[in-house]
Amino acid sequence: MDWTNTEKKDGYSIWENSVKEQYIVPDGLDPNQIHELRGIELFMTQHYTFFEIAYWLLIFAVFTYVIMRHILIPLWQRKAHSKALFSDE
Amino acid sequence: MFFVQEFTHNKVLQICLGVSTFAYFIVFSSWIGRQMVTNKAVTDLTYRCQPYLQNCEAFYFLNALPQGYSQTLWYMFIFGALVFIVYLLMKKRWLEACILLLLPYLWHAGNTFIMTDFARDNYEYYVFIFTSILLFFPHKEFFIKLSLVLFYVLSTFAKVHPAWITGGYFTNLQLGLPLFPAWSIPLLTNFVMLMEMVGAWFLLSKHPWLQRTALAFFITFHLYSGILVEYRYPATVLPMILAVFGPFYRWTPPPLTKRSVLSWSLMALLVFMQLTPKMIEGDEKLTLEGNGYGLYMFETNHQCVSEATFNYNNGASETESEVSSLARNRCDPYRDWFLYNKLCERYPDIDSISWTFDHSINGDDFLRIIDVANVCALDYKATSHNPWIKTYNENPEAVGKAVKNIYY
Repeated sequence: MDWTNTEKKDGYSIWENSVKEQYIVPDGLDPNQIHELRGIELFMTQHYTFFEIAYWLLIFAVFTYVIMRHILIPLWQRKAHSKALFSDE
Repeated sequence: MFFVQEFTHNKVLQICLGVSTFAYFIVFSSWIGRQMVTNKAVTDLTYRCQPYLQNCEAFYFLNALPQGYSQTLWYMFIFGALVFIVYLLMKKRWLEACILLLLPYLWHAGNTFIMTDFARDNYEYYVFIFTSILLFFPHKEFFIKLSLVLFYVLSTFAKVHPAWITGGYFTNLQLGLPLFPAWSIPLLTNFVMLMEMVGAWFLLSKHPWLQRTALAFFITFHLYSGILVEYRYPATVLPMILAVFGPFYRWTPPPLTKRSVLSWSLMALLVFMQLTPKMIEGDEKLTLEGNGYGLYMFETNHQCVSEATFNYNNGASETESEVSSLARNRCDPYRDWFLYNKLCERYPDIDSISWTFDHSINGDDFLRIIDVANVCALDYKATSHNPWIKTYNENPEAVGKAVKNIYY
């Protein structure tokens, strides 16, 4: 890629490429190393909202299952047997 | 107070006490020489207080080398206490060991939550919670196990973000992910998220095959992650995992006793704290507001440019800029806000400091999220959004594109 160093600052440079995009390049980084979305990452980016919602729903479902299965249902069963909600030791 | 009878016949808890003691050796070996809470840190303005306690320097009294001996003296006193705890554990004197463990526990907790912002760290939260349960909470074995599982699950609250869903944290690194090809990064990040979200619960399973598979995964995960984060994280977590989920693992039923309410409340508090950044307006990965109140491991790949112009009363001015391309270095505007405000307090010849802050996350554009005429006239609110920091909704100006950066 053709680069033009347009501005040198303390700690970083501004580089401009052939399509006139400005890049902020901190010292020590290579301006040629530009990340491009492709393959699976591009697919995940295009469907990001779906995955974000799916993950939050999964978190909610897992917490609900664990709390119901291991805390609330045993407590209700205990109450149904006329015992105190929380037993003594 | 310590529910010390739980240690008497429980080999797992006895090992856990040793693991906690080991953790403090690891933590303090790096703190002993650090100018973190020393008088020199105040003189040099290299200290930083918590956003919710912005004048913590009032607590500082130590001098580290070469300014004085008090800090090393203090830490060697704690070292002696830790060595004596090891002796007490070998002699099975659990009560005395717990009492003595209060010393490193309180010093560590004081630094983590009160005295400095530099110890507000994921690893310190682990050490604090493990030792808190061991010292003060009943049904210790179960709740140490549950806290470990919750740490995995809660860490995914911070990972539901492009950094992990698209793998942007690692695809934007020049070196990529260790040992794996670039194309596989999103598959691996999503696999890890699913394992932390769902698979971690199987560490608590009754079924040996499921429990051992989950354990093998997380041991491998920690050994692998050490390629990036080095020794500290695996040394904090792995020994505790092996202690409670390793060779001595036995299924522990969830305690539903009156006494357990306190411990359940602690677990609920962990969940609440992890949700606090979500209660503050804006994406905490961009604004960093509330980002540190829960776990924030590998939450986002950061790059930033901070530029400040100091305007003096005599009409002179000078400009300073600070740049970071280290993915791990959280570009927290609070860090600069704190320094500039302390400078304004100390030097009356500073009339104003104008400040711009450009932040890029996961290789996205650098966004000018701060552009203020005088930072010294601004307050930083610890628990709500600061209107002078722009969120995505306010369309901050894109001032440049980012190239791949480095992890350090």
